[in-house]
Order: sequence, then C-alpha cells, then structure tokens
Amino acid sequence: MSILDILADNLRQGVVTLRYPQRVPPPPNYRGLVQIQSEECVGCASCAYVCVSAAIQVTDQPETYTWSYDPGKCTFCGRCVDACPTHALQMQEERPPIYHQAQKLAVTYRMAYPRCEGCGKPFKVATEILRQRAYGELSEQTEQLLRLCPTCRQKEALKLMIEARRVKEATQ
Amino acid sequence: MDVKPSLFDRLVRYARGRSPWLFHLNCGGCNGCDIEFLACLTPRYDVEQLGIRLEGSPRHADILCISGPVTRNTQAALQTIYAQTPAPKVVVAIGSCPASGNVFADSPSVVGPLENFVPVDVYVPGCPPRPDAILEGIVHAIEILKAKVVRSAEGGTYV
Amino acid sequence: MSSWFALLVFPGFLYALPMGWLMLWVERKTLARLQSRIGPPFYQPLFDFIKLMTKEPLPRPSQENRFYLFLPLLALGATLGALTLLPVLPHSFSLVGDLALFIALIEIAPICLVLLGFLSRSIFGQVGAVREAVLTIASNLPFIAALIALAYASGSLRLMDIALHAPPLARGLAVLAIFACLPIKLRLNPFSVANAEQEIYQGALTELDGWRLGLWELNHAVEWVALSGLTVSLALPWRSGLAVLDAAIFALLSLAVVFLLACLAGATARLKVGQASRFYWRWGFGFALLALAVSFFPFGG
Repeated sequence: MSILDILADNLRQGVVTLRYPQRVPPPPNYRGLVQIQSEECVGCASCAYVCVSAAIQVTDQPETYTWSYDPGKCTFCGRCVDACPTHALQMQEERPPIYHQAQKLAVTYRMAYPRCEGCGKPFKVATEILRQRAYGELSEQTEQLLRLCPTCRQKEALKLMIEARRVKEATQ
Repeated sequence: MDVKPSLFDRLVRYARGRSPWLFHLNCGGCNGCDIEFLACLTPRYDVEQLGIRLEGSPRHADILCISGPVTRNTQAALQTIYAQTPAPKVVVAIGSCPASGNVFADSPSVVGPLENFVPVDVYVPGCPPRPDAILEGIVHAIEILKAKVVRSAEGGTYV
Repeated sequence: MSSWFALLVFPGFLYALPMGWLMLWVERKTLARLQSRIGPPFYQPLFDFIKLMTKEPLPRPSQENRFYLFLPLLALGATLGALTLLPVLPHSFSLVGDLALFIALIEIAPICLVLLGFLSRSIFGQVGAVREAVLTIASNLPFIAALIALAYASGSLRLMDIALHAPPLARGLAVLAIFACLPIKLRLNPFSVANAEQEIYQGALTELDGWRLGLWELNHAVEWVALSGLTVSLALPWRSGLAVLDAAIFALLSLAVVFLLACLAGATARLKVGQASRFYWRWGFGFALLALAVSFFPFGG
C-alpha cells in the first residue's frame, strides 16, 4: 500500500479527532484513585506493606491509627486492593482529577480502635468478614469472646473453661 | 487591583490562550508518560486543535511538560531549560514521578520532586496518565498562562 | 502602476501578510486532514504571531540583539521587494532587468538564516546554518538554471515579458523545475533538513525566542507568498486585464500550489542532507538542463 493510498484513505475516512472536551471513557475495571471504606478497615496495614511506592502509609498510635494515601505517589497498580483482607479498599473507575498543588489530593483517615467490652482498652478487632472467613458460623459465646481484648479474652476463656469443668464434675 | 484590562491586553491574553507551544522534557522517568504524551499528538487526540505545537527548543515554548522524577543527571539540564523558556511560562508535571518521586523516591540518584527546582503549576496524576488527562492538564495550564500579567504597572515583569 | 502600490498593497505588504498567514494555515490544515486530524483553528498563525511578539524576551547581549532585529527585518524587506516584482497584474510594476533583481532579493532570506544560525553560537543553530547553506546552493542550481532558460526562451530579462511571452514547452519544464525547488526553499518536508524540528531543534531558529522568532515567522509567511506567487505568475501565460480578476486568480492558484506542497510534505519523510542535495544536483539540474536545451534549441520554432 503506497503512502498515497493511505493519504487518500485518510481523506475519505475524514476526521477521527475527538474535539477537546470529548474524551474516551475509561475502560471497565480502570484503576483510578484508591478509596477506603473506613468502617471496614481493621488497621492490618497490609496495603501499606504491599505498596511499592509508599503512597499508602498506616501509622499506629495507642488509641487510634491513621491511614494516609497520596495519589501523587501512587502507581495505580492495585496491589493494595488485592491485599486488603476486608475489601475496604476500592479503586475509582474514573481517572483522577488534575490538581495544582503537591499533595492536594492526599487524604488521611484517622480511625479509632474499638474498645474492649471488658476493660475498655483499645485493641485490634477482627471484623465480621474475617471472622466468617476464619470460622464460618459462630456460636453466641465465641462472638462475645471476640469482642474482648486478648488479655480479657484469655481470662474470660479460662473462666468459661473452669465453669464448664465444674459443671461437668457436678453432673458426674 | 480592579483595573479593567485594555483592549490590547485582552487581545494578547486571547492570542496567548490560542497558541500555547509545548516543550516536553523527561527528567529521568521510565518513558511511560512520554509515550502517553506523544499519544496526544496522534489523530485521535490531536493537540493541534487547541493551537498547540510541540517545539524542539525551550526558547519557543510557553508550557513545559515535565515527566520523570528529577535525577541527579537531569537536574542541571532542567534548570537550564526552565531559565531558557521566555516568560510567561507554565510548568505541567506529568504523572506521579515529578509530584513525589513515585517508586523512585529516596533513591540515591533521585533528587526530586520537581517542585524543589522549578515552580509547578499543574499536576496531572496517573502512572502514566491517560492522554485525555494530559490534554485536560494542558488546558488548565492554558488558563494559568492567560491569567499571567501581560504588562505589570511596575515595569514589565511577568509573574 | 506605482512601485509604492506594488510594495505596500498588492502583491506587497497588505496582501502578503494575511495571505502568508492564510498559507501557513492552509499548509498545517492540509497536513492535519491528510493525517485525519482536525488541525489548527483558522486564525492560528495570527495568534502565534501576536503571542510571539508579546513574550518577554530573554536577556541577550545588545550587539546580538541588533542582529536579531536587523537580520529578520532585512530578510522581510528583501522578500517583500522580491514580491513587488512579481508580474501579477498586466500593468504591474516592472524594471528592465528585474529577473536578476528578483533572484538577488529572494536569496537574501536564506543568507540571513545562515547568519542567524551562526550568530546563535549554539551547536544546533550552526548545524542548521550549514545545512541551510548546502541546500540553498543545491536548490539554486536548478532554480536559476530554469529562470535563465525562461529568460533566454522569451528573449527578455523582464519578468513581465517572460510571463507573457515564454514558449509553452520551455515554460512548462522551467515552471516544473521551479516548483521542485519550492520545498527546499520553504524548508518543507522531504527537504526540511535545515530546520528539522526534532533532530536539530529547528536548526538556525533554535536560539530565537519571543519577538526574534516572531519576526522570522513573519518573514517565512511572506516567503510563502513570494515563492508560490513566482510559480503561479510564471506559469500563467495570459492576464485578463481586469486587476481584481487577475489578483483573485493569482491568489487562488497560489493557494493551490500551497496545497500541493502540503500534500507532498504529508506524503514524504525527511531525507538526509546528502540525499537532498544529491537529488537537486542530479534530478533538479538534469531537469533544468532539459529546460535550457529546449529554450536554446526550440523544436519546430
């Protein structure tokens, strides 16, 4: 095909340009900004661990933890979304907006650890999704135990065990 | 500062907005953004519809499109090129690298981010950004270019 | 018709300025359409010019500045002067030896470009200047040979006489040879070696900024009008006598030449400097020799 044929074809085909405000919509499953549903987050920091460019950082304080994300650093690889055990992270299907100042799009979420029902100390809790994945259906008793901090849970579990043995001995 | 712009000023601003010439500079990036930038010149996106021309020399340019984290080797060239661009000029940072260093941040050969060396007006996020994002970034840059002072009252300096 | 009218109104400044910008636009738009693009909006060259003239110039030594002002203005003046001599209207301004004057004036712009390139002291500017010099010599060989052939065939050194009385065969060959020289003189694509915009950053224009570049672009626009106008006015053997009609035909045919040149530019890729000059030394010169032979030994006449 000679260049003249190609040019004639181009002329016949007409203009293929999109006039400026028009644009091609991003394809399905396009990886845009990472968004967090903070109520799903358990603060495990898997996202920060797999993030290649340190765009996601999770820092730990005694009673709270912060999840911060800077799109200016992000490579939009989606590894954080894959790594999140509770599906708290998702990516927008829109392309990220233009901004004018460094770190303008950066977001920080500060989330409080849930408190232990026994002693009131903050602790990392396993969410509903994780519990279901680990144990399937749970008994009322186990669920109650999971809402306690590790120390209280030990005590409570021990108490329950002793109680159970006493009941067993009494029935024998 | 409520001075009504004269007819000449308005004409100059309008002409400036209709004829922004680009200079494209890679400060040590991976070439991904450069390829998306070149996609803007293809028939599908055609930046020439906005009066844009890609120039080879920074002295002809109005808008500097910079990609890549600034590396030790490109830093001097970057500063020379910025100084060689006549005012009024706008800097567009393409991709995540010039904004933060991206995956190259904290490398011993990277001295960025870009704003350490030149003032950046527009950031186009993405790794790499889509061509239409780059195009939109350039349009934002054009608005900034038009807003720059045409002739300041104090004596002809541009900001 | 007075020389002042020819210099300032038609086909001089007042005509050449909008026409030159229109030609620049037609060239870019045609190229864009050939590539299925939208291309630049209509007023683009005008806006480019205004923008360039109002940019803040970078500081330069004042001696250099004098040259940056002087050389493009000299080139512009010379090109306008050449334009003045074009035999467009039946009674347009002409001198006895204006062919020689035309050749001298149209060559001033490339010389100025070479000087600008060397003045810039940039490596790209100097490479561009060298290329421009080599190609100017290469392209002038067929260009001047074709004009000599035309002058001999029509027995006059006056452009008006040449345009009206040249025999058809010699005229055809010579006009084709002149047309083949246009891409190199306008620095268009297969021969855009001297101003290659990506390899050597527009050659001699690398270091020009703001108004310095704007003045040169203005000269370039007028060059378009002068060179396409030369081809058209030498190709047309008759004039209607009605000034407006002649001017309109001239303008339309010039635009057609621009269109053809843009198509050529769109269909070809840049050659190397050796290839380009070899092309002109070999084919261009051969063609011009043919024109010379036809005019010196007219067949059947």
